[in-house]
Parts: sequence; C-alpha cells; structure tokens
Amino acid sequence: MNHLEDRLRTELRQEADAVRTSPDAWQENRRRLAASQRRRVARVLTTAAAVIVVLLVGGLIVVATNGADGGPPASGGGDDPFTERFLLGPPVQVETLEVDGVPTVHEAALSDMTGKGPNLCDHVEAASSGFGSCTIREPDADDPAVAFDWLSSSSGGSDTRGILAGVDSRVMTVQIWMDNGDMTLADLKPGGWEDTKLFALTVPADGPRPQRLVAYSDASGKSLQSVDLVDRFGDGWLPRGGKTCTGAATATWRQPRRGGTGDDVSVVLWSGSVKVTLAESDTAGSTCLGLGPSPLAASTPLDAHLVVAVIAPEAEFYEVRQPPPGLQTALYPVSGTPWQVLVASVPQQSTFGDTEIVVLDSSDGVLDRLFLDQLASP
Amino acid sequence: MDGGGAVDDGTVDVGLRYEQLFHGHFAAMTRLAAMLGADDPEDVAQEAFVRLHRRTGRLRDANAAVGYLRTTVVNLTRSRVRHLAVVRRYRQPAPADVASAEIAVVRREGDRELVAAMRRLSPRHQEALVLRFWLDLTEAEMAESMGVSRGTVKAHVSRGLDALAALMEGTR
Repeated sequence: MNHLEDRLRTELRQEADAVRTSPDAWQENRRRLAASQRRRVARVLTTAAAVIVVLLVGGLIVVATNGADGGPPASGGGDDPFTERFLLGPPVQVETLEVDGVPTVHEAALSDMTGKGPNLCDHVEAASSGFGSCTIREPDADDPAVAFDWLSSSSGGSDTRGILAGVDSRVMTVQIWMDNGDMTLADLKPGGWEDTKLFALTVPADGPRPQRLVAYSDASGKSLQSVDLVDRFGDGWLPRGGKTCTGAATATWRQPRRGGTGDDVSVVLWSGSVKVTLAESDTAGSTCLGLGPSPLAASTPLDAHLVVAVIAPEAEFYEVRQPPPGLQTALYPVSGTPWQVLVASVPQQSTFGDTEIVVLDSSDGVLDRLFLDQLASP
Repeated sequence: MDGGGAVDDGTVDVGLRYEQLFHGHFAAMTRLAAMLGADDPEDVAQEAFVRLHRRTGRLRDANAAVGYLRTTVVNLTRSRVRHLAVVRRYRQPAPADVASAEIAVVRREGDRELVAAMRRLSPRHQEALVLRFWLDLTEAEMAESMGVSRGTVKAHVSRGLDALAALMEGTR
C-alpha cells in the first residue's frame, strides 16, 4: 500500500502543478466583490418588497378561507413538482396530520423543475383536494456554516403552525426546541438525494410552538447551525415573540446574588425579550432586552461586576476568559422556556479590557463570544 | 479598504488581510478545486473568496480563514459536480465541450494512471485521497474540510485506497 500511496502523492503533485490561474484573477475578484455587494443591496430591497406583498396576499388568503384549511399554503399552480421526471428522490412521508378529523399524509420531496437546483416541495392530500408548496434551496447552502439547506414555515390559518426543512449530509440530529422549553428530536427521513434528510413538524397553534432548531453532526455534540424561528419568520411566529417585555411572561428565573446578602437577580423571560432586574431595595432598575438569533441571545452588565446573559439551549458551558481560559461552568435551562440564564462575576467594569465570555457546545466548540468592553452600561 | 487590500470596514480581526490571503492562497484553492474534479476550478476559487469576504468579521484568524476557504472549495466543488450530474440527467447530450486551458494541460500530461483511476471513485473518496495525499492534511483538518467526523475520514481514506488498488489491479 505504501508504494501505492507514494505513487499517488507523486501523480497528484504533478497533476496539481499543471493547473494554471489567470494573471488577472485579483482584478476579477475585485469585480465579483463589487457585484456581490450590489446584489446584496438589491436583495435587501427585494426582500422588503416581497414581505409587503406576502403580507398583503396572506391577509387576503386568510380572509378568503377563514383559516379553515389546516395545512401548508397553496402552490402557485403550473407543473406538479411531484411529477416523476422532476423528482430527485422518492417522495417521503414526513408526518401524518389530521385534517378535518381525517388522518392525512404530509409528503415532501426534492424536485428540480427548472434544472437550476433542487427545491423542497410538499403536499398534503386532503380528502377533496391536494395543496402544497415549494421552497428554494438557501443561497448559501454550500457554506459550511449552513446545515439547514431548505427551511419554510406553514400556517393553516389560525389553527396550525408548521415547519418543513431539509438538512445536508453532515447532519445526524436536529433538536426542535419549543417555546415552552420542551425539546423534541426531528424525525429525519432520507431525502433520496445526496444524503440530505427531510423533516416536518406541524402543531396546533394554541399549543407549544417550535422556537429554535439546532443541527448536530454527530454524537460528540458538535453544533453545525442553529436557527431562531422568530428571527427567521418574524415576531408573529410566537404569541409573545415581540421585543417589548409586555404581556404574560413565559418564565421567571431568580438567583441570590453571588456572595451577596440577600439581593436577588431576577430575569423575566418572554419568547422574544427578557427583563433583567437587580432587586436591590430602592435602587432597583430593570433592563428590557430583545432576544437575538445568536447563541448569546442577550446580555447586560448589571452592576460594576456582574454580567447577565440569556443563552440558547444548544450551549452547554460558558467560560469567562480574561485570558487565560477560565473554568468551564455548566449552564442549566430555565423551566418553561428554551433559554438558559447565566450570571457571571467579572472584573470591575472599568477594567473589562480583553475579558470575554464564551459559550460552548458539548464538544467544546465555541458557539459565540462576547467581549465585555462591548457591553453598554446598564 | 486600503487600495482594495485589507478587509473591511473595521470589522475584521487584526492581521487578517484579504488581499494577502488572496494572493497567498488563490492558486492553491484553484488547484484544490481542479483536483476534486471541478469543471471550472478558478470560478470555484473565486466564489470561495467572495464568500470569505462576506464573513471576514466572524473568523478568528488567518488560519481559520484558510480552513474556511478549503471547506468552501470542497463544498462548492461537490455542489458543482452534483449539479452537472443533474443537468446531464435531464438534458440531451451536447456537442463536446471545448476544454478550458488548464484542463487541456492536465489532459496532455495524461499518463497519470492512478489519478485517472481515482476519478472513478466516489466524490467522498476522491476528496479524502486528495486532502490526505496532496495537501497532507491531518485527520482533524480533513474532518473540518469534509464536514464529517475523524472516524469517517479514516474510513474514506482506507476504503478509497482499497478501491484504488482494486481498480489498478483490474487494469493489469
């Protein structure tokens, strides 16, 4: 085998040496960067316009159907993506739904109707009619940071909320975190094409709803990507998804202040926001923060040497690095919500310097980091 | 941006300079794409750098940037090869392509039997052999580039070599 390996090395080197690059590659790259930046600006404008159109059209559909269909939105017509010549793999039964009291199959498949790449399409065969839709592949699906190559939401009027997704070949497990703190593992089904896997979850709108998806590559707990569904689908995705700290809270967390004499830190959580209070007699003040899509969803200095942060469920540990690396401290979930709360003792605010808080997954991979000197004063 | 070199707008880590990275690694990334079977390796490498440019503020350092580039080239090439397979599946055979200059050069020097045999292996096995025996990457670096575990890397290398040996045996 060593002879084979040596020969392979030699031939690969010869093959590589024969590849030439254009002398104007750098100029070409400058041109592409400029074009990319123009496209991104155009995409933002187009997306904003599309959101307005979807909101207007969505409003009309809800009015027309009175929210009674109980399944994913209707397709725009034309060719059926489930026609065999378009399919890249066999249709997959991703879940069974109950539509008008009748058990109904929810099917999904990867379909390429235009030769421009696979779309994730689904349909629900109701008793009297079929309906479904297609979702294009994420533009950055080949980016290593992207594991959810297709992701769409569905809403059966006011009755149901659902997600349909496809993940790439690296993904072994997907956690679906609900807004009440429950977690369920996605039932991944082979997509029949390039080892992609598909899953769907449709739930009654008046029960717990999916809030966050986390994709893992293997049993080591290496997190590939997490998606905050409020960030993806808008504040209306969850009943208390706004950033305003108003309405009925989903959970409250309290902790005696470290080394203190009875003062409490109080953290009140909604699905999209958090209110942090240092319950210290007359000087008590509250800070309302919107929860972001990153693993370190929100943070604030509480007084001169405490930092409070709200952490996503895929994080297992945090460290305060000053440097050198600090000790890993486990994180624990707050009952009634997917979020975790940490209260860390840190140096005096005036000497935050290079101190950072890092959050890690169970494979010790750094998920997110916060340099303390970026924190605003409370 | 000073003369179009450093990236970008104050959001990038200290020391990570895009232009230096480009000049230092563009040829290597083009070669990697070619070795993995991309039909237009330079286009793949260009796209990888454009994506790196979008993310420079989120990368730890230059080493992380090179790792990111390598992984992106592997993924983009895989996607290109996959897309070509889909196109071939649905389209009538076209007249033979005019080969690009670099591919033509490779073909003229085409006595490399092992590389020719390697092209018949699965994309994953090809990736594993190229990363291991051309780039001399460690298993951890290969795992990162291929988006799989180290155990899977070992398996791909071992099975790739076995398959290659079997193919060579069959040609004798």
